[in-house]
Amino acid sequence: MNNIPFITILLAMIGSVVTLLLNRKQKLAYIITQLIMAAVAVLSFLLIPYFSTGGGTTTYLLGHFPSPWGNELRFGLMESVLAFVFSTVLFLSIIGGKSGIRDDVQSCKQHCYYSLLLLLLLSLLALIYTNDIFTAYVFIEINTVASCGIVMVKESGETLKATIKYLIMSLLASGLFLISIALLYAITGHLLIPALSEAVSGLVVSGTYHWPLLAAAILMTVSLGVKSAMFPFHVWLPDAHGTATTASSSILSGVVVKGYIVLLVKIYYRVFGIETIRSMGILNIVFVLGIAGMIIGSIMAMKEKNLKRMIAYSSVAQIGYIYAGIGVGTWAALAAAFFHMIVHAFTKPLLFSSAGGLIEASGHSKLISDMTGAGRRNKWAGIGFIIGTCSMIGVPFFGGFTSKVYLAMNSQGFIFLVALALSSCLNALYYLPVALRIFSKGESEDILEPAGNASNYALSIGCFSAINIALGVGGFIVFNMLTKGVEIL
Amino acid sequence: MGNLFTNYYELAAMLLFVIGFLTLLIQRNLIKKIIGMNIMDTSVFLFLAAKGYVAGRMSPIIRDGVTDASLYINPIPAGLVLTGIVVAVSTTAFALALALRWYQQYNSLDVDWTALKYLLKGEK
Repeated sequence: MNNIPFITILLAMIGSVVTLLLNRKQKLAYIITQLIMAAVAVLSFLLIPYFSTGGGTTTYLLGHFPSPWGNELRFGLMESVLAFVFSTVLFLSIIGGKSGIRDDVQSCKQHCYYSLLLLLLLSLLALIYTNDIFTAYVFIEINTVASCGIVMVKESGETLKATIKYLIMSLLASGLFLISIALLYAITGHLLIPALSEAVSGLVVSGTYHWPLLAAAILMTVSLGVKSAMFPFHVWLPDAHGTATTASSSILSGVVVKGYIVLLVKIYYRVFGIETIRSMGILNIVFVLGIAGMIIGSIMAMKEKNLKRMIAYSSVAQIGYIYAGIGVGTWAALAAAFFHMIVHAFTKPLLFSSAGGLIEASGHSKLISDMTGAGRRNKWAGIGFIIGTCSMIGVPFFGGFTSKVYLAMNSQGFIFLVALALSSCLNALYYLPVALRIFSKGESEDILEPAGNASNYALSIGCFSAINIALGVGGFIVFNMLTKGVEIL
Repeated sequence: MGNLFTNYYELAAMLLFVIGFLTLLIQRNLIKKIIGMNIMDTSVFLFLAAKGYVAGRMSPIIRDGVTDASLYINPIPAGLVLTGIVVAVSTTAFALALALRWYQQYNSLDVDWTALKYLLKGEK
């Protein structure tokens, strides 16, 4: 059991090298990628019962050097649930976006695309499991390059622009993260999280080095905020997520931004300690930015005429929910934020995959105004979009409803409740017109043929929808697990 | 003020970091942006190397079988710098490849926005 996280990371690493070598064998590259994704999901799933009955966490030494010197992986219930969710979402997104990959990526480069996806899985797993902030930095950079790469694979002028913007924003953020690590190392002399947190709490008690600590905390918040599209730094997200190929959009929105949020939570709770962060005032700022993101992201989405960019702006709002939940600063609210993260990780890929199908069914136009009747031509995409919409708005028995209920129960104040209600109304205002339009009869009915669906597309949409409803009905099981998980974070 | 002059390595590193950061943020030329990124990373390496140095000690390579740790400087920052250089090289290579593609597409290395403007106004 203790070897599983390391094995999953190693599997992804080997897979990304092997697929890179499979020139002109696209099918084989696809099969290997999916086998590895599935294997990682199954292995991570095996960890969940082990930790939910046994509890506690395990530390895995890399290279046999004990605590303050060596490098470690650390994992418990939280980490294994997240690893399972992330690998499952990657697996299903690739199935759902397969036809998009075939259309958008040159066939001589598809094996490189699969290699990038495995690299992304590897860096996400490492970000979840690592117990060393410098290792986290290295994998943040791998994640950045891989996620810029999966935007760039669809070669066109707009993806090139989006990639360059995304890359520059990410590089600015990486620089800030690196300097904050250097600052922390300079004042504490440690990089491994347990030793680091001991040193930091010693500094807090003695009151020395207040300003460098504050600077390091702020720089980490800003840098991971830029990378995870926290509200004022979200500008790159609609471009990058709105132009990429369907599978890439699903993965970027559903999974990649979450990896950084998990790392930020780890840094708050395990490096600085939440009380220190609260007394520095950072928690309040995160809360306010989260609330602002919830409202403004939804307003921006309402103005959007391009379906994929609209869904991308909705991600900004959903990330606002997560940050507001983190900003409340209680264990239960943190668990609710993580639950929302999981619900969003399953809903946004569903919406992006359905949007991909709808766009195909309306003559490759991304404009909402051209989509009249698209859901009648492509049934699975239409159904998927409806279910995703219900979940995002928060209709009962869908995942989004349960997560919003948990966020509201732990909101600790009036502002969050009002913002939740307002944001949900705004969600309904921009999702419902699209949902109605794709099922209404249009003039273009006779021009465009009904789209035949590949069985793998239906499978992906079906799985995502089923998981959404399952999270809506049985969400309390996951939530209880997360409540147990965050307390030993 | 006195502290600033005793810690002149750190001061220089911070100045270089700000120069690199601003270059990446406000230049329009992609190559200049990439140079700015490299200055930024290198400044952090200078900062780390300065932090690891202890006056009057040897570089951390065991010589003549002497294993007494108090004779050597701290080796960890050197290790971090090496790792950081590898990361910086790979991101630079990736950024340069994108800049090349940009040049092939638009016949220019200038982008029509700066990162600062983009951050403040979004895509308009």
